[in-house]
Amino acid sequence: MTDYYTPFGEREEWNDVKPIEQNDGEHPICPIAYSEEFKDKMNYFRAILKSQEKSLRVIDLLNEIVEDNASNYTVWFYRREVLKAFEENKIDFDIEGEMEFLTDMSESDPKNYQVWNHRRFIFEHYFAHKDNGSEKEKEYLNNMLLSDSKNYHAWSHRQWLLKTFKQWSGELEYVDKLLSLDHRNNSAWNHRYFVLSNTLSFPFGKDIIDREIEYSLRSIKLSPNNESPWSYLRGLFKNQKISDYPELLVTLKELKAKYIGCSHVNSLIIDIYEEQSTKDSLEQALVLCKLLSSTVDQIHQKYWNYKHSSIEKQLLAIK
Amino acid sequence: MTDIDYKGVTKFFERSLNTLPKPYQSGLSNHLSLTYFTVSGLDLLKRQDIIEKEKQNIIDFIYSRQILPSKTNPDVNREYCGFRGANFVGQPYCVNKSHFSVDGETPSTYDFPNLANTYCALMILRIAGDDFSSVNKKAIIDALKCRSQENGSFNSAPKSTESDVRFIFMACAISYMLNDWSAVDIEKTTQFIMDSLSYEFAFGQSPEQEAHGGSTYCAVNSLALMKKLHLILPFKDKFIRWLVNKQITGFCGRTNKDPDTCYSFWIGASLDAISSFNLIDFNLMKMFIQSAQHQVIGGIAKEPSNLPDILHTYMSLSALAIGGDENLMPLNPVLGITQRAAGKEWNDDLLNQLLKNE
Repeated sequence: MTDYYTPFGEREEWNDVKPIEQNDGEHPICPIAYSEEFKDKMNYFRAILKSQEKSLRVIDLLNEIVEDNASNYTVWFYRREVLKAFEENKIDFDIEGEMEFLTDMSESDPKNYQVWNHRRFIFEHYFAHKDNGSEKEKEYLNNMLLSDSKNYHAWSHRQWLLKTFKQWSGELEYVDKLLSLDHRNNSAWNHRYFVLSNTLSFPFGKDIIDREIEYSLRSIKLSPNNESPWSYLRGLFKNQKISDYPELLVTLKELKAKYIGCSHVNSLIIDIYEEQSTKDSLEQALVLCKLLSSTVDQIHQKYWNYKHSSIEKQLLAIK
Repeated sequence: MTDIDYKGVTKFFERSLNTLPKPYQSGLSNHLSLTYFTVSGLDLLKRQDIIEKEKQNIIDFIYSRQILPSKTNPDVNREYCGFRGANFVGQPYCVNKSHFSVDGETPSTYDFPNLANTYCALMILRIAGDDFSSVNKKAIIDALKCRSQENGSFNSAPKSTESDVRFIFMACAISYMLNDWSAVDIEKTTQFIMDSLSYEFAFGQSPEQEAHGGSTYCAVNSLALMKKLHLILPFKDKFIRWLVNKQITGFCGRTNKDPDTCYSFWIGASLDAISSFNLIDFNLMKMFIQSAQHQVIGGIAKEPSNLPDILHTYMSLSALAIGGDENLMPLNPVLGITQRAAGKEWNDDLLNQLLKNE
């Protein structure tokens, strides 16, 4: 940008504004070596806050400021104040352009809380109740997640959108699509859980559990060491007992024999044994802890030794 | 195994204390967090001599960020008290230790404090040895009451719609340090945290979100500050498993993500809160951190071959300190400052809470 930057003092349309410098005293701690451009823009920002001018040229100034100060809450807050004033005074403003600007911002700085925050405000205030408003927002999110399918902000915005505007249709297919591209995408797994628990009764019924066991096992068969579907499978039983599904244990034992180097299958079997909490099941769990700590999962050896001693205590308690 | 270059990293923080290079201008509005990483980093590196030399400048500088209630009409800016990140909206530089804003001065409508800067300000003051006597505690707690949300969470700043476990942690840390919990509805806040426990048995940023190392740190350490850690016990082993499974070499912050040095701290401190830090492979974590240290600049990056920054440097050192690294001061990971700075009372009260109950 440096090559093209014209200081505000040299811009004719700004010559009525007197810039205000930042004052950090004689002994600033950790002072930032601001660029001249940055100082220049902020000097005019301070002047605008003082005069409380709310005009189109202020939006131009704010556009330039967020280029290198996108996480500044005050800058975005003032932007919303200016937009509010436009609305009240019926000043013509291109709100579609505002949304495009935000789309560009989120592409260059996809993890900025303030950009996402401002987007939510603009969407809610100006677009949510338009025809296809939330569908278009979903399309935007599809694009964002195409470039980074694990962006926490994008997922958070999507969850909010779905819940607030009841846009549940097509979501499970969307998860399928993402998982077919990358079955290790844990955000997509979390999303499947989110959609199911919001659209079905919770705790899940037997038919759903059976279907979702199948779903996770299909993915597990593609790569047994993928933690995500294992975690999802175990999570299905939230607020109910895994041991109420005895056929699952049978399946897991088969998989254990097949996937010798897989820690997750052993780990889930241990959970079931612990839940059964009989002398026999706990003793079998101890054998698995030993197996995991000595060969299958040595990087987490200390954890499995800890788990071993924790199950030993349970065994003593029931004896 | 080559070791961390402790001299190099000390120089990195010494330089930061004098000047932060241009890229940090994007962090202007959270400048007190940058100051906290630097000052607390030097403290961790046993350079109390530098802090001692700068003590008065540091304390005055932090007080110049305090937003105080108007003396004549305290209600006019009740919601706006606390600490701002920097004087960037045109405030005069003013080290005011009187608990009230200068007489007759109308506070600026756009002079916003936020919880992150307030939390960092209090910790920097503690590190520098200030006794909080010029902190207007009542004004901060009154403002914190305005941040509190119906669902038990807190928002970050006046008029902000951001509210999640990050701000719960900051609200708890502020309440703890000021020894006044009247702004926190402990039952509701605890419920919000427990509702943020995902099916993976770790915490997301808010209910139903994906389990995340940073959110998990905030959730668990808020429970520690509120003395509610026993709520972890029913799923403690599954929780530990999620945490230790995040170790690849260094730690990643979510299932199936790449390791990043800062999660050594977020995950490590979550483990430490339940006295289980010893369950990780410390040497492997240290090797990852060492490989992310820049040989010339001295700072530590988020991953090898990236440029270092003060956040990742501070978080990496903090994780090493939890493991008892002899080149560093012992850490109080619940608050995020050295045990020296926290002092005996806070250490005795906050550390090893579950062990004490056993």
